[in-house]
Amino acid sequence: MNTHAVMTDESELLARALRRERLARKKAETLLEDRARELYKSQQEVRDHYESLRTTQMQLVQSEKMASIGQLAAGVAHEINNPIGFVTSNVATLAEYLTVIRGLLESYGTLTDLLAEQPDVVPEVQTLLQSIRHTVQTEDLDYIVSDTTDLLRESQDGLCRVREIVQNLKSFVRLDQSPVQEADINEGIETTLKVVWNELKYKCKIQKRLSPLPPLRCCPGELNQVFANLLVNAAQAMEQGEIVIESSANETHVVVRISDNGCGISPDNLAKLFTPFFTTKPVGSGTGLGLSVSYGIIQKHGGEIVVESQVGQGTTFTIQLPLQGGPL
Amino acid sequence: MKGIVFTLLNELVEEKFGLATWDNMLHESDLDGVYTAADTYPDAELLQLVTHLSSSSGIGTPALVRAFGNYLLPGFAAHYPVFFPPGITARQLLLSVDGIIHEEVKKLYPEAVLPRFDYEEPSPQELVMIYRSTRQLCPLVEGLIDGTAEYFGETIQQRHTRCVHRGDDACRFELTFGVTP
Repeated sequence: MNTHAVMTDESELLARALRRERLARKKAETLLEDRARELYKSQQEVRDHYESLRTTQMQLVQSEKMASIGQLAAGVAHEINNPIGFVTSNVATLAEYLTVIRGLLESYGTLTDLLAEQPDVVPEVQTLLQSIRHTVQTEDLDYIVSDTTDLLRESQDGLCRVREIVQNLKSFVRLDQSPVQEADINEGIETTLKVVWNELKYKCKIQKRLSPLPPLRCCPGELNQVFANLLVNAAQAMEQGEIVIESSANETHVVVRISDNGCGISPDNLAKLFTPFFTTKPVGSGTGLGLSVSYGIIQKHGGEIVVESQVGQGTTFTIQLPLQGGPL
Repeated sequence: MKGIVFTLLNELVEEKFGLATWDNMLHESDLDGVYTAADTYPDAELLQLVTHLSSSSGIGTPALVRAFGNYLLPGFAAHYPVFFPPGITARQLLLSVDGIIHEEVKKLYPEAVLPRFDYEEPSPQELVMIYRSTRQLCPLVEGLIDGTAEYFGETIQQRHTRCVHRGDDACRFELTFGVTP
């Protein structure tokens, strides 16, 4: 009997111990699941932090790149400006000299013709006249004279372009100080549209959704340059299409959005878009400075310019300009 | 207190006193006794259990706690072999408690409340461990030092020269290695 009682006690003891073990195991399993969930959550957080760090790093690299290119551009602009000044001046003087030389050459021509008709010209003069006539014919003096005029005109055009590039570089690195004033950005958009209308009118419809804006302390001329760049680029990105210009204001910023339904920009090009001298336009038709200058101008205003694009769908540029405290 | 202490106490009691004693201790203490190594339990539960064991076995609480400390050491070695790499000595293990073992415990269980050990090394044969803990479980430390010596087959003479239970601000254990007690 005693043995049975002991056995019963023992089996009860064991049953209780087993129950405790089972409960402990369940508890351990719950703990494990909780830990797994926590781990997943923290892994997710690490991943989010990593993504945000990567984005920040990319932005930093971009702004560092812009800063170093800016410094380089400032040096180049300064160095080029002086020689371009005297070359332009020299070419203008050369053009004036050429007018004189051309008149004189015409007189010489008439003189040689008159001398050639004279019967009593001394043989030395006769030989010289023949040599002159020979040179005029073989070297095609008429062509040389007219081509020199063209060459000088083209050189002047080229110099004008170089000067424009230098000018753009200077505004990119903020060497130029245009006056700061309070302005209505909508007025700027309207003015710019008139200026670039010739570039747009055959290719695109313009849709304006301009909301009333508070006055903004800015350099209106420079902002107009940004709008002009974006509008002309948009027009160049399409055969026939539509450009939507929107403006609005929230408590802190004026927002201008210029969207087109043109060919869009590939992700590769998107990354280089604001880099000076980067262009996808054919050689000779774009300097690759428009957007980098625009970037510099928006930065100067303490604002932000962001681009979103889908190849084949179109591109949207969003400009945010702070109402208060933007660095100018 | 970490669950590992409770599960090892459970093993000790079952091994030395039998399952019935453990079951009775839980019953007397009104505890469910569901312990897992990874969880954390109130310090008071451990105190209740040890008090009941002391009264049922007739062994004083400090002696019981010291014996438990001795038993804990090989238990820790079995559960956490990473802290007992080949070639490690008793002295090196004791020196790693604060800077390595507790640091790792914190990584796994950030909520764990751990004692603090400061060290003095007067000579290669001597080591001073200064123990600070709100739990004031210095007999457990004594047992752990005993257990360490046994585990490594070394002899450690320990002198508990200062004690919080005697009004000192910390417990000071002066250890001498390689001396037959």
